[in-house]
Amino acid sequence: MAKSKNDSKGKPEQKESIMTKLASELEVPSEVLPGVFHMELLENREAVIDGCKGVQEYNDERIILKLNKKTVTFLGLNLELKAFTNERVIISGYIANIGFSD
Amino acid sequence: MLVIRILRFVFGYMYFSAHGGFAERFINLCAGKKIPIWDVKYVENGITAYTTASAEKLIYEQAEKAGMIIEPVGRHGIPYFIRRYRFRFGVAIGLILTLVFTIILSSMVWYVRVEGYSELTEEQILNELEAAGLKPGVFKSKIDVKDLQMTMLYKIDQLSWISVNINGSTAVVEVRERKKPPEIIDTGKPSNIVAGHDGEIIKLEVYQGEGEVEEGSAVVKGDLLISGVETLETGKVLFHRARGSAIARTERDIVSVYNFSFSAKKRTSEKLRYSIYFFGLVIPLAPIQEADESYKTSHMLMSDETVLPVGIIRERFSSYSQGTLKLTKEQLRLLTLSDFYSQQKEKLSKVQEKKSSKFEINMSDSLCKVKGSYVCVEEIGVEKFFEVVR
Repeated sequence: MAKSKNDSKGKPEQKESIMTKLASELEVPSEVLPGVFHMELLENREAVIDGCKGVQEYNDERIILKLNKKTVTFLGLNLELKAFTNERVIISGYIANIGFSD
Repeated sequence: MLVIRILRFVFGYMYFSAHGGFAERFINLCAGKKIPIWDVKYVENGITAYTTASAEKLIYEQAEKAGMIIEPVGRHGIPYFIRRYRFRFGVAIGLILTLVFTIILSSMVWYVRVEGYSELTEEQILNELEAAGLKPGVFKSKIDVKDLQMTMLYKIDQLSWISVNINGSTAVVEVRERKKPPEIIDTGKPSNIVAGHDGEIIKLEVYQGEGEVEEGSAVVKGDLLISGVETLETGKVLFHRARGSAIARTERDIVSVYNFSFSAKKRTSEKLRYSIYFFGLVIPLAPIQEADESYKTSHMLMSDETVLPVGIIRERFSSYSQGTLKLTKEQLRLLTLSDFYSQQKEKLSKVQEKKSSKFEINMSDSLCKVKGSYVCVEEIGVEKFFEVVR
């Protein structure tokens, strides 16, 4: 059954990069591939993000990080950038919300 | 985390605040230039963060690009400490000297401990070790342990085994003494046993030779007790080394007499000299004094039970002149008694049993006399060798 253009506009479009598809097909961990970000959470107190390309916004309630083709927004309280080295960012504080956007 | 803190302290770090401009751009520029910053906290109109001492200059450039102003809040760690005191040459020299002294002193022997001796004295072994090159203050590298062990075995005949172990700054010397072989009696030389003192024979045991006196007979000094000459029935004469025991009842007198004027040495001068002892090196603090007698005492530093090779040596130099003392009655009495007891200890040392004793103390205007009379039981046999002329 073919989907109409209107149907596809109704839902957010789920784009999957070629690299992610390739990793999925080859059953290779996606974090080893270039351009794929990797995020780990320690409860809602600390987040470790690999593959960060820069900081778009920074204050103690909101941190927006630029990833390869997406941005990730951390909302919370007393947010702090513990470290930023070699595309690895560690954010600590009370993380209330994480959102992604293209 | 502790390791990271230690490393940061070793390499140094700076706590700074950056305000104005664009904090995000500053963070991105630092990340792009691989300038380490950590613990970035948002504050009003800026951020606070840490960076390494080596990156301190670089962050100013990045802050300028991002329109921020950096204000150092605190600098910590060894590089900043060194930078702060770089013109204090005394501190640097002190540190270098401390390091040099530590290296030199740790390569020396501080203490020599001797274990396992019984007949020999510790002083005797230490003196020989010192002569062989092992003493506090010598460099460990200069000690040839095998050679030292061989030298010690050669020098001290009583040693059967020695081991020298250098543990840190302590030289532990373990020794084992040689067990003495039983004395070999030279039977080739003929002898008699004669009485060494007047007395009455109580018991005579003859191991070799012929008994010449009966039990209960009285003998005087020099009487033959056991003869080493044996005459066979054939008329031949054999010469032996006489062996045996002659226990006799004896009478002994000990007399001690002193008068009021007592000839004695009188101390005319006394001087002290101090020297510093440091790892075998003796540094005198005054010239050598001329004296009749000198007496030395050492006061070494101690750590627990270990004597450290650092201390003070005190020498007492005394000069005497011969003089006459006029004693009081009490002094004369004590002096006479003291002499009497030392005579008693010496003369009656071989006595087996004291049957009875009687004492007399006579104090006259000119002298004091103490007399002791004893009836003893003792061995009176004395070996006397003789020559056989053929």
